[in-house]
Amino acid sequence: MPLGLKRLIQKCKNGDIKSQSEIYHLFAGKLFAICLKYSKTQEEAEDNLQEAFITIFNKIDQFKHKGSFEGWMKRIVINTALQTYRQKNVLSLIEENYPDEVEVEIDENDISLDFLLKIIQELPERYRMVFNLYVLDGFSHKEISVMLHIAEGTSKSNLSRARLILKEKVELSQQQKNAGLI
Amino acid sequence: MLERKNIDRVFQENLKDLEIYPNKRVWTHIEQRLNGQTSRASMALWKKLGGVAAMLAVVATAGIFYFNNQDLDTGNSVLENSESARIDQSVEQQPDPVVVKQPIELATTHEKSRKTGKTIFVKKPVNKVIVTDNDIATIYSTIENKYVVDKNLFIEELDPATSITARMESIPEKIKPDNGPDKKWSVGPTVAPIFYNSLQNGSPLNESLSDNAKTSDNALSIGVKVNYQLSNKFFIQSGVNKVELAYNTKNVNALISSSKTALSNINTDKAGVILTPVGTGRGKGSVNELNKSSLSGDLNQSIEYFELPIEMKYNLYDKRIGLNVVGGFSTLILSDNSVSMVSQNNVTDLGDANNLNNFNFSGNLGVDLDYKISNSWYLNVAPMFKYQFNTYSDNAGNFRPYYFGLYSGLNYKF
Repeated sequence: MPLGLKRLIQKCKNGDIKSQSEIYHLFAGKLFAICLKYSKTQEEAEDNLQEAFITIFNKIDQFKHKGSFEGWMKRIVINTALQTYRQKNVLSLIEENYPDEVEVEIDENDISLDFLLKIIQELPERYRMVFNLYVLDGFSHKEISVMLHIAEGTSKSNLSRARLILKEKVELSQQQKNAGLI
Repeated sequence: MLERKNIDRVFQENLKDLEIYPNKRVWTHIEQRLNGQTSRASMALWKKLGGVAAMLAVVATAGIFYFNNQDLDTGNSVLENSESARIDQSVEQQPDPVVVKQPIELATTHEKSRKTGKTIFVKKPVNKVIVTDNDIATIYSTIENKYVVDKNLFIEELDPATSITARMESIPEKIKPDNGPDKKWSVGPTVAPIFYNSLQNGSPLNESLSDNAKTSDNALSIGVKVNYQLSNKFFIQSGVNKVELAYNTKNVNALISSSKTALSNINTDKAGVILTPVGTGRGKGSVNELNKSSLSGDLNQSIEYFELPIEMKYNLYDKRIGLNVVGGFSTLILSDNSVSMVSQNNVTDLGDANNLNNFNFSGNLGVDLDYKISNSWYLNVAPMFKYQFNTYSDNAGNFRPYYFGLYSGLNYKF
């Protein structure tokens, strides 16, 4: 870890607001991107980022420089997103049985970053959580089942369903572009 | 050209290392909350002391109100003190301005404007940055004005590739249950054993009994308490209590006589009552001759009031068990009083005291302990000291009555 960052963290532990500000502005971009992926709306993502940074600064004493600081903050951001998800009391979706590990392929042309982000945000709450946790943050279905209080099989079929929804949206968008609608 | 690719990889490759700058207001909110916490921590002690001071001020104000009625020359210095205590509360902590250290560069970026200018992409060689045009202004003002750090240094040395794939180690924390809407009111019965006494010797019944030993009967207060939460820390409470006070003056001779010039503050249907301490000379022998009957024993005075308290409660500690300080005053309305002699096995009613005021007041100070049973119910125990003002119209000697009660009850919040 660079000395500069270590010193900043130490100052944050002493409650130095300038150092907190520097830490925030160093990492806000990356962490906000995570918040956006896990949230339905921009507002929800901002709320999560705010809560996550408050937790980060309140618990920075517990960061013992074992492992990456960014990884530690990222974990807090994801935990915050999970708390928000649980508070929503998401209604149980009707479980449809999709085969595990559906292979979905798409044409990568003409896909913009904000479109990818938009269609992730549009996913039903639990599909979005599962897709993010599994595909983008590398958790196993077993870990996800504990985090979301669902069965491992549910996590797998939710993931398959999420992939299919995303594929449909990508293809619809590409068809519209080809047809000159956009 | 059609290039089919696994959907997971499309998302992983595009969204990895994505940076999106949040609106400036997010930091503003965080900064406000952090500043609040700092000032909370540093001012916690002050606030506690301030709360106690406010309680004392309420009691002192009640006292001054009383004494001012007697002595117009009394200044209002105590009022000024409580005023100055309040002024400090409005002091706010200003955030420190952040000093510009060194300019920052958004690396080598190129902008690709899309469609109707809705979204602008700024791409870096390593990190992709996506910014809505609302936020562009924020970024640039941030860069120009403050919070400047040597970002490139950190980005290089952090090695984003390893940290992004860093594995999460712990299972997320449990959610803190939402307490639901605030319940500001509470109501409940109270019951308290009362210990009645005087700060100085004296006898409200007869000056000659000033030095006699006095004891308090265990008396009782029962009533209803209503409590309203004004703010996080402050509560106002009121209610109504029926208070029965009683005390005994030891070793008294009561001469119930036909004399019209009875030397006591007692109205009686007997012709006259003369009270003297046991063992002292009766003075004039003539009294003795008029004597119809003579009683010797303890003189018991019992008094009943309706008490209407108005008290402020300040919270010092609030978990399952809560600790509060309470201060205020009560209006006491006399409902009954009687004086009787208790001699050996007999109780002889002598009448009632004629120098008790129908209205009097008490200054109240105490501690209040809560035990929360559930969201809606809590148990409450409050030892309270109540000092009475204006109890007797005159002829009460130096009798300065106070009482101590241990108030307890079960309260319902709504």
